[in-house]
Amino acid sequence: MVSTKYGGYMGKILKIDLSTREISEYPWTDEDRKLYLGGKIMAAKILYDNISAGCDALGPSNMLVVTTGPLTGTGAPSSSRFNISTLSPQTGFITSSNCGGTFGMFLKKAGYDGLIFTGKSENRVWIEIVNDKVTFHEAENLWGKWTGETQTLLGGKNGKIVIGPAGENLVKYSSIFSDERAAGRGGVGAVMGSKNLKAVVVSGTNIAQPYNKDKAKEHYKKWVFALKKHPLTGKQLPMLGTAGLVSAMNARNILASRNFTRGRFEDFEKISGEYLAEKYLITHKGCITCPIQCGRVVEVEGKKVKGPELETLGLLGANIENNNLELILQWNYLLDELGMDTISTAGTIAFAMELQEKGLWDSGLEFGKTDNISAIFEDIAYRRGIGDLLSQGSKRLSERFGGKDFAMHAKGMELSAYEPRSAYGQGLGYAMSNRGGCHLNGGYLVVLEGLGLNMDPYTTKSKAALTVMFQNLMEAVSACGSCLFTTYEMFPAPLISKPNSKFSRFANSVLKYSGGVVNIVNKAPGRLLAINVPMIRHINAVKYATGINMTFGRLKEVGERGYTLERMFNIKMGLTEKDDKLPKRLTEELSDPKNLKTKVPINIMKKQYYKIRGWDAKGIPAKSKLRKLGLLEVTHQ
Amino acid sequence: MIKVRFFGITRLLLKTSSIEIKAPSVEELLKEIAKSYEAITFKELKCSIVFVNGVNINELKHLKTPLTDGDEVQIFSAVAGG
Repeated sequence: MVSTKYGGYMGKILKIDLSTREISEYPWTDEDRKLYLGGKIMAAKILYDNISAGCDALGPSNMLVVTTGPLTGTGAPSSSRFNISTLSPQTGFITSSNCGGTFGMFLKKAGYDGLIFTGKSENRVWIEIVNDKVTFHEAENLWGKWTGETQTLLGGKNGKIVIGPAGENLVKYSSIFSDERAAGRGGVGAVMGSKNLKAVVVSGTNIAQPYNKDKAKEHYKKWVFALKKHPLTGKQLPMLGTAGLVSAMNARNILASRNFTRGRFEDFEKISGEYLAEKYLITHKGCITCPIQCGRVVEVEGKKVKGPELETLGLLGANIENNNLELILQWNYLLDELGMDTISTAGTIAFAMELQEKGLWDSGLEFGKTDNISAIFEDIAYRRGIGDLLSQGSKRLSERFGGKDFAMHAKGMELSAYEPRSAYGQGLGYAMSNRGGCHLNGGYLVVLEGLGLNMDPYTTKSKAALTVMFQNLMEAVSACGSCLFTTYEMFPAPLISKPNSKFSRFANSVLKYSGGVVNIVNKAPGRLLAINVPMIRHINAVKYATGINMTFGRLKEVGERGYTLERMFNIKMGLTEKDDKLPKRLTEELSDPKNLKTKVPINIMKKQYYKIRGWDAKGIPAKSKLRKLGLLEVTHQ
Repeated sequence: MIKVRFFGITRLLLKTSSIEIKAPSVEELLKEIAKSYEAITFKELKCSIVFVNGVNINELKHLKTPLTDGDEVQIFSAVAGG
């Protein structure tokens, strides 16, 4: 029996206590659905309400919260995503890790919008959920197995999330896998491992019914057409995947190279998406219901496997001075099988290489040396020898061996492959992101600063305003259950496909003066913007799928509510404004000695950012802001 | 001679990573390329992101940007990712 008046939702969140094996329904009302929508925002509310300061991320009191959005499973394009949030063992703050594949859809078929795992099982288990039936299975036979084999052994037509050895051994940046897709960041795998939970398998016979089936179907059809027609989602991403960014980033001096000492790599072409397409690509594929099909399929060890994303190419290529693409394909597969985040693994390795070069720590890791990398990955996953130290990540290594100025993380999470000294807005995003050094949670301003559009990357003007807007919007889109790539379709196609036209040049040149207007929108109460913005197709999608009277203002406010609630969670866990920072390498060293602009003026932008967000000088959201977002009672109980 | 390097979708369409060509300006260079390759038209090439010696032509003289012997031109398609 669905206990919600809204469509799209299954109306039930299941809470499973692994210590007691008690299973209960987590209270979640229609008012909650309206305020928090789903996905990472729903999870943030659950975590805020249940996790106390001082909670041990790897202890039984931490919660692993798996959520879907209202569009998941309703047939909306690119909306099969699900989210995993928890108190991160890597950062000590919230992490929200988003994943594609089929698990989200199967979870809804089982009849749930979300799952909450708490406690710690005495024995190693995997959990099977079929409709209302929850079964605990002994997992001794699966423990130690890699992620691919684990899923093969579990078998069946269902949705699976599993961990590999890295999660079992509590590697700080271990991931959770579903098919070949990863909830990669923040150590969600370690939290699952700490609960002695190897896998969760879901299936069922329920259907997520849109509130207005006909209108939803018609809207989705138009949406698919628009995604296929757009130059980014219809051409670039299917043909080149995110790998297509390598060359473009190199040209713009933003491809992290040699542990972020510079933004260009001499051999970039050998690790590029173009080279990947020419030499190794078998085909491309994507998540269920997704017309974009951005995934790469390559061959490794005679098997057809997932190819690397841009992050992996950049960080296991340019950032460690490796120009061997075939090795990256193998490493990508190995890390997936071991169950580790490629970004943080690669970032930690690059940091260790620089420690070695500077004589601070003899790990045997050297820039350009590749013959020991595969063995090191396994050592990390199994916490053997130096692998045990590397499994703690860059931040902890820098606390032990020094080199804090060039330990390339934010809030303890390694930065992704975008070198921000030639993309100031991306630098601000890294520093402010609730989950740490993440390009997406940071607002992904780099897409305006030279990749999709051509805004001046070296100005601070309007960067804070645009970052706030993008962060809020992406937060809301994620909460819908949609892939963030659907946001690219919001960029008017002529700006992308005719970059040299007078219109594009004008638009790019005025972007840096857009802050004032953007801030009017940022600050306006949701009810004043009770309009539909056709280019943001999520508005009507949510409206038709759920029946919630969604508007642009409401969607924006949901995003802001989510971002602010995550911030409040972090503050509860001890975050201060001192944590909103970048490594000194990015703020004090020039990436190009001939260009004095190539360092991130973080303090100016940070001040502007706090002000726009309605936070005080210490980075704490003002009570008036919390009241406006309906969070005052939530956070001041 | 001008060295031209192709990236992104343009490179996949042309099945060529680089060529050397003579041309007095970016516009003329693109016209020459369009004449040499059936897979792409001048109109399509005009919609590329073009760098001359590492600088976007929109910071120079756009399509009228002059070229001299030894210059390197990079031709990209727009990209995004995550």
